[in-house]
Amino acid sequence: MSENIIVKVEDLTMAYHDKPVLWDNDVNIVENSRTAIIGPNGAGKSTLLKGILGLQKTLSGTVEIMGKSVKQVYKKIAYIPQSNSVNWDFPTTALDVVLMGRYVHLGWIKRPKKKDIEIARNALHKMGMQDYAKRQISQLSGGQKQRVFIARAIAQNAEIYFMDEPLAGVDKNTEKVIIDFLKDSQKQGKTSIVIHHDLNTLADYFDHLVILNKRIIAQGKMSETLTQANLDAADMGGGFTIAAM
Amino acid sequence: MIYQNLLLTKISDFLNYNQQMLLTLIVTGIACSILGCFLVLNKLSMLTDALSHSILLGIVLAYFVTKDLNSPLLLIGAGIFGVFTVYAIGLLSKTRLVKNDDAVGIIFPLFFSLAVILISTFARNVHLDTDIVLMGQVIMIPLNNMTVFGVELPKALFYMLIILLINLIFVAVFFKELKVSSFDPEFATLAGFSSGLLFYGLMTLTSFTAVAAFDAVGAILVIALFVGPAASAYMLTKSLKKMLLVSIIFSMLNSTLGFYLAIVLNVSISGMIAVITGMTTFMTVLLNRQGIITAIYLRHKNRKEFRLDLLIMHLGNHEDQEDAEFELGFATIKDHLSWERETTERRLNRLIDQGFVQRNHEKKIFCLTEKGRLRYDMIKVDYGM
Ligand SMILES: Nc1ncnc2c1ncn2[C@@H]1O[C@H](COP(=O)(O)OP(=O)(O)O)[C@@H](O)[C@H]1O
Ligand SMILES: [Mg+2]
Repeated sequence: MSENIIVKVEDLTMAYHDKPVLWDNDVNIVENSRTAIIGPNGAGKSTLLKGILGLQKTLSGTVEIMGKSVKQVYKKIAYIPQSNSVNWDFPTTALDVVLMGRYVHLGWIKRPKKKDIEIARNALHKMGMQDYAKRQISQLSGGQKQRVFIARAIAQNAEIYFMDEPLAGVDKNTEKVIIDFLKDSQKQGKTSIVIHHDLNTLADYFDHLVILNKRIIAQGKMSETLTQANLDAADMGGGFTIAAM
Repeated sequence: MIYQNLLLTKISDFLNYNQQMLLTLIVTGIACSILGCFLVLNKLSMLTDALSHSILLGIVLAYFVTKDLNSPLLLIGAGIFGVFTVYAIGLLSKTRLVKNDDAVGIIFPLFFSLAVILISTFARNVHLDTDIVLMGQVIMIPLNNMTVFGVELPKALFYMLIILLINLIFVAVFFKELKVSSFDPEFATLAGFSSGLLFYGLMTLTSFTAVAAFDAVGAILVIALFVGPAASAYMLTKSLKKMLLVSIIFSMLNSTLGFYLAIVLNVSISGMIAVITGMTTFMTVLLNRQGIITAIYLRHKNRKEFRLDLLIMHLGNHEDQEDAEFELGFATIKDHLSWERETTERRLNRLIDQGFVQRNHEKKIFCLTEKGRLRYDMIKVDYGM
């Protein structure tokens, strides 16, 4: 079975203050996969996502998503940033944040319509958050905040989800809701690319893997890529053995 | 003469000097605070400080060109210079040589001191004294009149009304864009709303607003007007629209209170309004939803609510189990939660009053109502179970 590549990254190099963070990386994300990106702290995982999405300057390299540039297909891309990257004290409600997912389709100046609000409500419902629609976002727990973020991506009705550590600091229940959502999305033909930090659940939750430590150490199908040798090569082997899973 | 009097509406026929001053102050305050809300949300309050001072350099430079202290070009020059300041700060922080806050810290003393040097070297005998720069000339507002469309009104009031109108239109038209880019700039950029465009739009208006306000009320009050009411509203509200509204209310209150106090005490009007603004901001720090006093109150309230939640959890957990009749009797509930008899009674009664719990008289047990079940499910989510 031939696999379609939905995100194609070539020669990507990125730096902060001339300190290189990513070196000459080629990344291929398979269409309709659930791909995890793993790597030690500071490996450049978040930077890689931002580079792919054009949110951070790149020094070299090209990115193609569905054969086009990000600017051409941005409506089909949902980005769920690391939870701590936004101001959760912002005076707004859960429903309002989810509604932002609709802004992508509205464009400049146009206001959300009844239909958009309904879509946003349904998205909240899918995340089991319907009772929290009018809650100020600062009064949500870590797991609930993450659910709101995912609901925003659902409301956007994207084809590809980029998520930066969506399971960090969330409760078990939310973790299950999010993973069920990823599996469900896959059935609908969607692709997710998720930065993940828990090696124990890795093989359960995802079917493709990218191992990163400034350079790409390995990438491909989970079963072929998750090897002790690869983890060691990424400095992630310490104390963890594949057999333990 | 008679014709003229018929055609010319004088604002002084309706409002006395004090009322004209107050109206100008209120309009100025509102114009500042609606932009101030977005500055506070973008953590850019420092920037207004920089602006209000670097504008001085703009005024000085424009004066060297026009040689006329009353020229409107002075204000336009200063406005353009304010925009330039913001760009300079933006560029400096883009080089990533310094952080954004540091960029502000570098640019603003530089421009301010340049202005002071220029004034003291070349413009000694020009009437640009520091008191006026810092405190403005509120008293002079009703004396500087102009006539537009057959209405004679203070110049400052006219300028500020125009600015207020422009600011209102900007915020109303780009409300959704401003909201998303202040909350989650990366998401906004990816969603096709260039945060750079919005940022410079906001800063350009801030700059011109600051210049016009600066002329009327002085540098100190400009900063207070931009930041104070917005910061108060930020701490008190849970939606952006309410934040804007509350900041406007705060601004009007501060101006009115400060103005009349200044008159009674015979002190600087700008200074007094700035003081009142500082005080109301400080009060909201103490009293807001995350403030110190509120925290004490909430802790007390939460503890109470937590105990009621505990009771609902107990009822919910045991309801479907076989031991329901045993676990849900009064004595068992009391023992299980180890509460006093009266306390247990009181809490059960409260939950019955709130419609979460009902008494089953036959079996002598308590169980959850429909509403109670819903609450039970919510509690489980709340506590991550
Ligand atoms: N805004 C920034 N400015 C400077 N250095 C940064 C910035 N963001 C990240 N870095 C550095 O880049 C490296 C990679 O960061 P990041 O992509 O966040 O790693 P990861 O997500 O894998 O933990 C780290 O060494 C980090 O310190
Ligand atoms: Mg990261």
